[in-house]
Amino acid sequence: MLKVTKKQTESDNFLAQSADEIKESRKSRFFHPYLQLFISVVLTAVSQILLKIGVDTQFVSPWYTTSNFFAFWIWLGILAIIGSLFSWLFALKSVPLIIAFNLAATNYIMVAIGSWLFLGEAISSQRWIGIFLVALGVFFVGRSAARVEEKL
Amino acid sequence: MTLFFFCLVVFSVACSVTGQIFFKHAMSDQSMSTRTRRRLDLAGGVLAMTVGFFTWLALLRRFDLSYLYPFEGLDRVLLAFAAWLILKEKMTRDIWVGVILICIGTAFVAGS
Repeated sequence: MLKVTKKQTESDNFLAQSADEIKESRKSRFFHPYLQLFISVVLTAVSQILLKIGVDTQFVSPWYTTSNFFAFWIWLGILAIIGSLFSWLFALKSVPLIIAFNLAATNYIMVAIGSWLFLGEAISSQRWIGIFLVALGVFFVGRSAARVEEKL
Repeated sequence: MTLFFFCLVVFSVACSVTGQIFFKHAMSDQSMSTRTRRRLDLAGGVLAMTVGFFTWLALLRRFDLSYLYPFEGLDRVLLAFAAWLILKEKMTRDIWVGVILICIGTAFVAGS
C-alpha cells in the first residue's frame, strides 16, 4: 500500500511531465487496491443477480439439458465471478486480509438492494435491520483501515 | 443437529477460511515468494475452497438453507483469528467491533 500511495503522490506532485507519466498514474489509480476491492465486491453482487435471472428464466430442470449450456445470463454471471476473483486477488496484494474480508461484507447490502431493484424481491424489516448492522460493522472496519493507512 | 454435523459445518467454514489465508499468502509481497511458491499457494487455496464447497453441498442436502446459512457468519470470526495468528495482521478494537456487528447482521439477514 505504501508503495502505491507514494508513487501516486509523487506523480501528482510532478504533475505529469509526459504523456507516458499521465498514463502511468491513471493506471496506478485503476489498480489502486481499494478500488479493485470495490470492483470485486460489485462484480460478486452483479454475478449473484445475473445467476438468479438466469436460473429463473433460462434454466431447465435436469441440469444436463443442452440449452442450459448456452444460457446467456448464467455465462455472464460466471464471467462476473471470474472477474471478481481476479480483482480480489489483486486487492489482497496490499490490503490486510481481515480488512478486505470485512469490507467485502458490503456485498450483503448490495445484493439486498440489487435484488430489490432488479428482481423485485421484498425486503422484510428484520432484513433491513441486518443490512443496517452489516453497514455499521463495515463502517467500523473501514474506519480502522483508514487509521492503519494513515500510520503507514 | 448433532455434534457431528456441527463439526462438519465448522470444517466447511474453516476450509474456506484456509483458502483465503492461502490466497493472501500467495499475493503478499513480504513473503519472498517465487513463482512456483505462489502457484502452490493459489492451488492450495483453490483446493481448500473446493473441499469446503462440497462439504457445504453435502450439508445442504440434509438441512434447510435458512437454517444453515447463519453459520456462514462464523467465517468472519474464524478468519479474524486466523489472520491474527497465522498472518500476524494487526487487530484493533474497531475491527473486532466491526466483525461482531457484521456477524450479527448476517445472522439477521439469513434468519429473515
